[in-house]
Amino acid sequence: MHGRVKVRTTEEERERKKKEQVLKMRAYRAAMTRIQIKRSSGELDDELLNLTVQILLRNPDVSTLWNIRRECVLAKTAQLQQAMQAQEKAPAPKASEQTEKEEEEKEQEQAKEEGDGDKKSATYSEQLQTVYATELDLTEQCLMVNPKSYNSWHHRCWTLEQNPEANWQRELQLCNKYLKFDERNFHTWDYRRYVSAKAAVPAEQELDFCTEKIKVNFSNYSSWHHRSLLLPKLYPNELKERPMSEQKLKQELEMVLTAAFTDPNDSSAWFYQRWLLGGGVQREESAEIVAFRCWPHKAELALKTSCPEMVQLKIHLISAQNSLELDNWLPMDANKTQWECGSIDLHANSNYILESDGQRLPLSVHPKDESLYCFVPPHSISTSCSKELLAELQTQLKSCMDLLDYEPDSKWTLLTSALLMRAIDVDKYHEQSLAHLIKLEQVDALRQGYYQDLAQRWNMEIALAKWPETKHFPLVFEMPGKMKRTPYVQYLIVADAIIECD
Amino acid sequence: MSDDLPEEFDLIVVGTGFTESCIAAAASRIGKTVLHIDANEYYGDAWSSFNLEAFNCLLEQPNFTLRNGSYIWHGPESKEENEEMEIVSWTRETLLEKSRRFSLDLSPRVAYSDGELVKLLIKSNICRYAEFRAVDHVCILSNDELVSVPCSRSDVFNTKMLTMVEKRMLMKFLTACNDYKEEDELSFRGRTFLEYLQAQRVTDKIGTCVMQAIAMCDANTSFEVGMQRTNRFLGSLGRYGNTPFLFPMYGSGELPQCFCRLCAVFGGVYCLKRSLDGITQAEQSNELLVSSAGKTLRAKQVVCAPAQLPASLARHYGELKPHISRGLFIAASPLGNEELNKGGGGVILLRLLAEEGAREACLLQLAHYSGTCPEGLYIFHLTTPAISEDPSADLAAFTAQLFQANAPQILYSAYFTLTAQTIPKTSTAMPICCTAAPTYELDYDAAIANARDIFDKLYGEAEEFLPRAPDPEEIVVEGEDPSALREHSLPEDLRAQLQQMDIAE
Amino acid sequence: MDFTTFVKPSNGGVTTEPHSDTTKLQFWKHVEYIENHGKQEDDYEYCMTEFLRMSGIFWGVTALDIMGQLERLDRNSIIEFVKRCQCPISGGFAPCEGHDPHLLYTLSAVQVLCTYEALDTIDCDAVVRFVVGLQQPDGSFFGDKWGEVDTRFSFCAVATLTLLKRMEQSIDVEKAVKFVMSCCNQTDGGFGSKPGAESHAGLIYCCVGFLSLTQRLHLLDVDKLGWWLCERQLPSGGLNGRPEKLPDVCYSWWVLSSLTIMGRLHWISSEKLQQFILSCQDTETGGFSDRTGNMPDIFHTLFGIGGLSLLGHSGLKAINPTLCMPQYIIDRLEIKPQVLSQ
Repeated sequence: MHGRVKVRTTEEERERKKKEQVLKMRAYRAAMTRIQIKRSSGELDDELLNLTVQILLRNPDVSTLWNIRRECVLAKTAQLQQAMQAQEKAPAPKASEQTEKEEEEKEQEQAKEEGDGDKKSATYSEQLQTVYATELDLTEQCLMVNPKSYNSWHHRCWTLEQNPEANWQRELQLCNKYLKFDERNFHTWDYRRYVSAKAAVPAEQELDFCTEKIKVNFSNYSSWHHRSLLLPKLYPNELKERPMSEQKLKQELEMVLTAAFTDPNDSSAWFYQRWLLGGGVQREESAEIVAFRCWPHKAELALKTSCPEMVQLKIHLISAQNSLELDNWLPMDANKTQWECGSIDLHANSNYILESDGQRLPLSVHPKDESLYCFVPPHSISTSCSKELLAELQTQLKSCMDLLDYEPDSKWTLLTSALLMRAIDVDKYHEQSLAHLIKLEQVDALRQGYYQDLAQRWNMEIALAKWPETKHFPLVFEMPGKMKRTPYVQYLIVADAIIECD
Repeated sequence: MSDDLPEEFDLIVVGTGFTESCIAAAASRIGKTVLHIDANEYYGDAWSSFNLEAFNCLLEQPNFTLRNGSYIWHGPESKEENEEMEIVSWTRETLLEKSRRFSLDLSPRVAYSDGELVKLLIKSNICRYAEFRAVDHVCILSNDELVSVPCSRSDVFNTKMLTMVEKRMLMKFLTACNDYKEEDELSFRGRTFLEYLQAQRVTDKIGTCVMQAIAMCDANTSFEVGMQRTNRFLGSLGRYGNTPFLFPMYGSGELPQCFCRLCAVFGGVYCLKRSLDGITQAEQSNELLVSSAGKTLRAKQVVCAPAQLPASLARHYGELKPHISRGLFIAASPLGNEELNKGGGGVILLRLLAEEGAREACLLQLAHYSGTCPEGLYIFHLTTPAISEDPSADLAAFTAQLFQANAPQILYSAYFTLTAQTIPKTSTAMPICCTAAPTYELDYDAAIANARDIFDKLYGEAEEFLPRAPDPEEIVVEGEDPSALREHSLPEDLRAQLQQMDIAE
Repeated sequence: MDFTTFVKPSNGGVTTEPHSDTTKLQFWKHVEYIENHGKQEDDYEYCMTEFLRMSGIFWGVTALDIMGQLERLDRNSIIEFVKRCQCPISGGFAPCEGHDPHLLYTLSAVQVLCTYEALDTIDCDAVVRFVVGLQQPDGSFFGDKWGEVDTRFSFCAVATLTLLKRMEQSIDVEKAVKFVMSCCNQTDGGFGSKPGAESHAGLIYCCVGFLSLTQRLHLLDVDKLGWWLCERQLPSGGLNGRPEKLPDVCYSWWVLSSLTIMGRLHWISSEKLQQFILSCQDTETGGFSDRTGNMPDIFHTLFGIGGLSLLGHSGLKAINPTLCMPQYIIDRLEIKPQVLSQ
């Protein structure tokens, strides 16, 4: 249904086409009727298989026909396996004395007994392999017709799973072949991952394959994606602060930058690059507390990301004397990032620590009302990085700035240089990276809203990070500029007043 | 030669070089009776290829086409002489033993993948007789090193010769040229291509790549011509191989023969070792009487390669002067690093400049995959417009650049001059058409234009020059309406199904 | 001219000025197109697509409902058809008679019945049994008994159970969530069909929709995924399903609905997207095609109309981004798929 160009046809042409279609339709209906009759009467034979072939070759998406084929295959293989077992069990006296020829004859007889005349000398296990091979051939033909047919791919997997002697190396070759035709077919890539796992292909070898693919054509998001799966496994980052070891990260950054410089308008590598420039691999499984404030009988809590169920989160206030569990939280906002607990009883004048799944936060006394609070500003991405990596980032930034000098409106370069700046030093480059976002709003107007939000996030992040050092902390928070939507708004529960900018 | 051949032809073509063969094929293709003869005992004339022994003979016996021939053996004569050397290398003996494995071109050429020759071969269906190898690298000389010029997005991505920003510059420049339209860049009209290039703020390295290898310009080339050449290069990319060029397998001498084969298929008659001895106008008709090998043949028209004219006519065309200086080297190691010669090497093209760009030469390096030499050997063809009777002196400025640093192990070197008349135009007084000698060009554009011109002069522009020749299997049966839908045009299996259904109903 | 080695194929940017006919919604043409779809028994395309008929009915019914023209279809015969397609053994629905039941068509059938308030005409317990029976120990779902696993089926399962209001105490939601999250990609925050599979807008819709139905949108990296999704918009205004692919009306829906669920609709240009969708109308026959100038079909017609509804086009009923059904039906059922605020 995709990509069919509408061509104006002459009246004649239409008539001809119509006639042809009527014939094809009659043929289809006749075959379907016959198939259904045979299936319901349990005739799972070669004729039924052949009937499905005619339709599947034209339309491999008719899943029911694949189901019927699987029924036929199961029936056939069960028969063959039974026969094999029977053969094994059957007393074979003086087997060692029998000549090969005699054995062959015996098999032939057995084959005849089963009424399977045309499979003369094939042994049962050969016959079994033929059954599987037929299915594989058909899926291969169907994939030629439609390389994106979910059903054909699945039938292939199913067939191979049935066969204990499946040839996975051959499947790997098939993937190579199909990826040559279409290097972006995600079915083929999925299948490749499945097959290479079955064939126990080492990850290094897969990475080499991937590198070759990118060398031939770096405009290949699928290859970059495949890479992103392999590298963290092959070159793990001990501290989980980066997606992979810094040494490898440096090389990858260089490669991806080369792709982008060759064609900055090709978006294939953008996401990979931004991932490389980002922080660690791990996403927090449990909710992370970023701000907390409590009064003798009430507490408010802010979470980094929304959390639908606070029940799972065990929150305690711990002092030298006792431990107090806070529960019965109620959401304060629609996103469920701010929660309220109205049933506590706090002993005054104790030093409390807030504790929840793996987090221990010391509490301070609020200057205004002596409530207890804590505040963890959103972390910026300038995590520590080695000298080598920093040098690479700086070189890359330099290249980007040179390129901007040459092509000031290049979208990718504007965004990448802003990200590089933030990876090197958020604070130092804050204004300059914001200037790039403003420029991006012009050169990439489709995504204006995105850049505006991003600028607000960056503004808010830095304002929140610097807030604890201001003299009004935590009483007053001054909004950094005008905000349409306020990111990180939950962090502000510890403030008494928020000054909006005009 | 059988002498029971007919005595009357529509066209007699003398010389089996590229241009003459084109004309012979084109005439034969539109139904003219053609006799194609050559004074030599080989096909191709100045466009031919030879095995090593024959090539040496040719150099020893100058003719009208080729003179100033000389060759030198650099390696040892035989193995005995070579005993002290550890590695058994090539000797004169072993080279001559493999003489037949060589195919040494007098006029080596490459073809743009979307150039005149390739288009003509495809259009005429002569391509089925021809076989090509995509040129592996187009190079420039940078600090005495051969460096491959990136010819694709992935080349630019993978190359180590350019910095990040240069990669972008090159891509941007080429994309701009590719998108160039007549009405763009009006301000550069009448200026040079170099000025345009400089205005794009590209680095020296990119400037060199573009000027030397892509646009193939010199400092004086006009903006329009440079742009046209750049686009000829770009337009030929991504068709067959990684570069825009093709090289005829087994040498450029194969090409004229492809045209001869087509001519023969359509009835052309071929005789070698048969010269044009004289020509006169027949009385009371427009026919020409051609005397050759003691016989008189009648022809409506005659086309002749200049070097094969009878002496009586040749004088009308002026003196034969040096036209092209050629050098040919056989070496045991290639030019360029391993990366450029992966897997034994292929075909490398390099345009060389000397005297601050005033003179240029073309180098073609051929490895055995081109089918022109035995494995382990490399041929270097050097070609430059002649400026003297001494081809080796003419080429000295270029060989110095190539063979100074990282000199390959040269086993054999040869030099010769290809000649051309001083007045190449067909004089109106002449009863026949004369083709032009091979000129200094990379592709065959000028030669094809020359052939087409003569064809038009002979038969008028209404006749198509080399229309598509049918394949043998393309036999059309009359009276069949291909658009009519019949049941038997349905696929086999559907038809069977329908029949089954009809029975069921 | 062939310069493919240097220049990649264009992004399919439809740069031509929109034709006058395609700047406005050809409302009645589309109504007519959907209404006539399949009326001729011997229509070739119709016959050859019978293997997905149930979904076809859902697409047509929903598109007409969004346009306020549901009464043009014969309610009773549709309900009768749907009933006939329920498998008496498994409880699942087949696309049409003579074919096998599958989760894909089970969801379509339930969606159609919800629209017609006719869930009581089928055996809902059997449907629940069918869905529950397809969940695997790792939380994933088979599409049918033959074992294909895909995040599409996870979505179909929870959507079906949500509409039947039977999600609790039927499947293992935690495990189902875990499986879907195992298909989330680190690089772009998107989802593929199975663990490790490349992100794809269609599957992102399924997974975001799944998380919306299971009230777990907090598991998304909204900023990362949102950026990837908004980068799907091409100069033509249309959206593609993966980087460096052509725009398509159906991908426009999948990206648009995902962004809407995530509260990030303002990250793309609605105006340009609307232009693109309208340019894919067939002004002669009615209906929408995947791209400007191509053949229309019922599938793209729903996603064209649905996209316009999400963008707030006048004259169309509101559509629910998670279930791709008119909002009034979702309200009537008192279902509240999660949506993030901006």
